[in-house]
Amino acid sequence: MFQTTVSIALAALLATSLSLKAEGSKPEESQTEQPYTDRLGDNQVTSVKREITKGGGLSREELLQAAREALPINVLPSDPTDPTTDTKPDEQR
Amino acid sequence: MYKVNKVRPLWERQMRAISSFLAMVSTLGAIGWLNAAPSPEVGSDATDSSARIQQVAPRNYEIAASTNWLNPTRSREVPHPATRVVESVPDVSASGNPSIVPLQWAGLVLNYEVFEKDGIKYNRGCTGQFISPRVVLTAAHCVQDAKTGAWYDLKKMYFLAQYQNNSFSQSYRAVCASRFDGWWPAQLTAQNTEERNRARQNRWQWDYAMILVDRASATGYYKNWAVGWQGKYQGATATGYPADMLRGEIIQKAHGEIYFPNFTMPNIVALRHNHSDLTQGASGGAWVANFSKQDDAEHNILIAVSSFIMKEQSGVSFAGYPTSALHRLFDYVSKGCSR
Repeated sequence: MFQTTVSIALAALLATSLSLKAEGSKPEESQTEQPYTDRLGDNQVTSVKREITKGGGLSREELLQAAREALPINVLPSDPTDPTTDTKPDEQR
Repeated sequence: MYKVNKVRPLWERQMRAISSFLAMVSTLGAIGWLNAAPSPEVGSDATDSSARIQQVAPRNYEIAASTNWLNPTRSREVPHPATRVVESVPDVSASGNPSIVPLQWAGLVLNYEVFEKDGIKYNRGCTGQFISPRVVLTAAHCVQDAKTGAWYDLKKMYFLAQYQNNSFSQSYRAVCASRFDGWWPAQLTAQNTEERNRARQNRWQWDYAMILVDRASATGYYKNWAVGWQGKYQGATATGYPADMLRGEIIQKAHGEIYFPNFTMPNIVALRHNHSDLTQGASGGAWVANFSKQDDAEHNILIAVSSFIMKEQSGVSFAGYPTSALHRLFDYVSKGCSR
């Protein structure tokens, strides 16, 4: 009887560990936190941080396709005295 | 006398059976546990990341013309359009070689599905480079929209190292990103026009950002970077993935003369490389003094990153003139964007 109880307890413990491990390896969507600021000497910085999770993300093929189709990020101040951005969303790479 | 076989009660037989079964499951589980692949370290959430590829250095024209510079023995079912572009452009002399120093430290900063128009989602591309094992330097407008101030989603931000001709060696994911508030000052939305215009002019000197990625560079990084270098370097080589050159599929390098323009924008430096098409997509690309295949303290000194171009000045790229603040930002980002 004692043996049985111990076996059941061990098995339950192991099963719990295994299920936790399996859950941990599942791809998950991570969350990007809100921008936050810090002071660095005379300057202030703003940062964004992503909660780190395991797995997830795009596959190599998806990344290549995304890179192929990506539009360049461009800023084009038209006048030094009044810089404005001029991006070209319709232009394909 | 006769021998009596002791019959165990039913519940005891059942318990023994369950016990045996559980013991077997435990043993198998333990074996599986011990044999399982080690979990990735915290922060390592790269997707496939591909195999670790040691690059051999093909010649530049081979890179430009090849649809697969990483593994020439592997065939592709569908030839990439970049090949056709290369064939129609005889001068590929500006093509850089991402398999050798220093361009092996560079890559494409990819922001996936950053905006939607007419039901179609668009990605954005920039240039970046490793300046330490885990820190990528790029332009601030590559992590935060220059027009709207919206941060690009870190969940969808990738760094594709050695991107070239529809291939890359390793993909890295952004963990955190920082830039100085000078890039997006509160005065940009000030009621006072003069104050607003001053903020607009001042912001360009801060157009750089750093991204901490999920694991260390497999190909190295720029070890030498200079700030406050005015008078020391008269020329530099701009690098990047300009969309107008070979459709942004091949990293370009263009050497030029450095000068400090007489702008109302403070702390801006210019590089006249005379490549009018070294424009969009090259943002965030390094300006490299003493560009060389040699990896030592005297060569490949990163002195700025491309920020913007001007319609009136073809063949010239502009960048913020880096100060010691760059080092402070680096220390900060290296610590996980915290002090």
